[in-house]
Amino acid sequence: MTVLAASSLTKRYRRGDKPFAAVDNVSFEIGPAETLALAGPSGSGKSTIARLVLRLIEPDAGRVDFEGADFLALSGAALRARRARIQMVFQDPLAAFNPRATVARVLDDPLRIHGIATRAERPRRIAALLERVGLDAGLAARAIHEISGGQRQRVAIARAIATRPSLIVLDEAVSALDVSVRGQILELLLDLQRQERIAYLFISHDLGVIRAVAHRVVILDAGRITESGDARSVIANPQSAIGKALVAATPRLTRSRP
Amino acid sequence: MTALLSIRDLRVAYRRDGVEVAALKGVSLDVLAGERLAIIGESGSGKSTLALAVAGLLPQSAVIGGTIGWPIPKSQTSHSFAPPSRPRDAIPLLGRDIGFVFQDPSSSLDPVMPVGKQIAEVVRTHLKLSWRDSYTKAKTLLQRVRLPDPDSALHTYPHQLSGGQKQRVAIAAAIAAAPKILIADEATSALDTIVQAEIVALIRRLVAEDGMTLIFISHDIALAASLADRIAVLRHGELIELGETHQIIEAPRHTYTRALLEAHLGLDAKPLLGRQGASA
Ligand SMILES: Nc1ncnc2c1ncn2[C@@H]1O[C@H](COP(=O)(O)OP(=O)(O)OP(=O)(O)O)[C@@H](O)[C@H]1O
Ligand SMILES: Nc1ncnc2c1ncn2[C@@H]1O[C@H](COP(=O)(O)OP(=O)(O)OP(=O)(O)O)[C@@H](O)[C@H]1O
Ligand SMILES: [Mg+2]
Ligand SMILES: [Mg+2]
Repeated sequence: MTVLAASSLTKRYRRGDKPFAAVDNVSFEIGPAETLALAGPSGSGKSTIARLVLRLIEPDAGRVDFEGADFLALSGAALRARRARIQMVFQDPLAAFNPRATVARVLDDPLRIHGIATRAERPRRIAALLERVGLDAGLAARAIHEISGGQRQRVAIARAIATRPSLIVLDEAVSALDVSVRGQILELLLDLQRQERIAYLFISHDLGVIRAVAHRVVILDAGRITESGDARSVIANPQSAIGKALVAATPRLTRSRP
Repeated sequence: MTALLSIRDLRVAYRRDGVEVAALKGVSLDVLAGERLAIIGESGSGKSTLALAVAGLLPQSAVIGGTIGWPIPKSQTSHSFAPPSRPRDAIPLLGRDIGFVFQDPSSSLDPVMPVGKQIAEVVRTHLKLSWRDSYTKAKTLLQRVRLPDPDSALHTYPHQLSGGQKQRVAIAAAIAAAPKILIADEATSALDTIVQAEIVALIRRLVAEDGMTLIFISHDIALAASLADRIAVLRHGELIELGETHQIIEAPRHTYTRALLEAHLGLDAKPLLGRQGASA
């Protein structure tokens, strides 16, 4: 069973006046409670794939099946219902939220828009969501710009899980965090995955992080998949040139210095 | 090795909404001539504040105390930030004595000036060369930072370059006047892993070739360890540990340093993921 199947996805842009494929014939599947990581150098097409999967942009070719339905063919109420099941968390939650909005407001929106809870129920739901991501319910009244980066990323995760999604797309979601906070957020994501069986499409340039949390990894280069497989096996023994370069470039604590 | 910079009881506070917020709370350390010193610590620990203080780049509103001794060739003076005035020669001059590379090269490069001119300007200002000689030097610098086709690179604008290429130009400008110290503040944090490794290798080579002293600021302990001879660990504005890289990595004294090491997710770390959660 798969949650998400991307088949032969292609997205072309222009660079100057030359067209090029930012995403070139990319296919992959993600199962329930599975984490698939996308790795690759800058410009290899990771975020473009995220946007295609979220249907923020339309592909030039290929299809996306989400929970068994042709996601790109959906419209109207059917699309809205399905959208609730696929959520996202990006690197910079400040850019995703109105910084003056309160935490409560940020969490109220999905509950209201997707008709998940009545107005009367919502404050209790918000408190439960905050508790679920390890935040004090008292934070609800604070503005987004008044909380720390780590707290903001927890709020972003709380918002993502508010609609009980089966898939969350995380694009460099922990890249801007301090290592200690990053560890806590990764633990939270794994905990949510175990309990709610959420699948993750996990984008990161950091192979150390991918190795720690992902089941499988897809390595991209210039829009194409160069290799994929079990995350730890691929990282331990990369086959493609770009896979080898990524592993070689990852700083190591144990390496003896020249 | 002798101290190139002696930082003593450095205190910096920023004014925010009328209140002073301490960013450095009495930091003392010597930067040794020719060493590669890394400064690590979590966000807000004061790393950039320390770098900016050394480079004389703190905002006017910052409240500064303590001393930064900069033994200049003639007289081994040190200057105090305390009033009245600082002896001018005793202050390292940005560009001439100190090169500074920021995280975001766009913030140090002028978007509407060809990169060759930007580098030549640094050369002209600090080395007092003619424009013609300054351009010749700029071209050599672009070669040294391995920008492809330096002749045409002289005439390109920053927006025509990739992030890694822009950072190469910023480094060329920073070392243009042959400063004694190169400060790199998160200079590779915005770059992907492969480009980051290239820029680190470039910095390592340039520092070795010119005998520069390097102050390398990073939140990544593994990256810092791959480059530095010594590592200074900052936390909440205090220097909590300073030692040789191998000592910090293999025998950290402070619990906070140990926590930083444990939180590092390297390619040999224990995965957080329990495999029983897998479905595929
Ligand atoms: N809207 C757009 N118009 C034109 N080109 C685009 C557009 N969006 C992305 N691109 C190009 O497509 C390629 C892939 O970009 P993408 O953002 O997916 O890369 P990425 O792997 O996420 O990189 P990074 O690690 O830097 O985030 C790049 O060359 C980028 O410049
Ligand atoms: N211009 C400023 N005005 C007011 N406060 C500032 C200013 N610059 C820094 N601070 C504060 O001073 C403290 C130290 O900041 P600094 O930028 O030195 O930290 P850092 O270690 O470089 O962090 P990062 O890893 O996020 O770059 C922080 O609390 C920060 O919010
Ligand atoms: Mg991206
Ligand atoms: Mg900083």
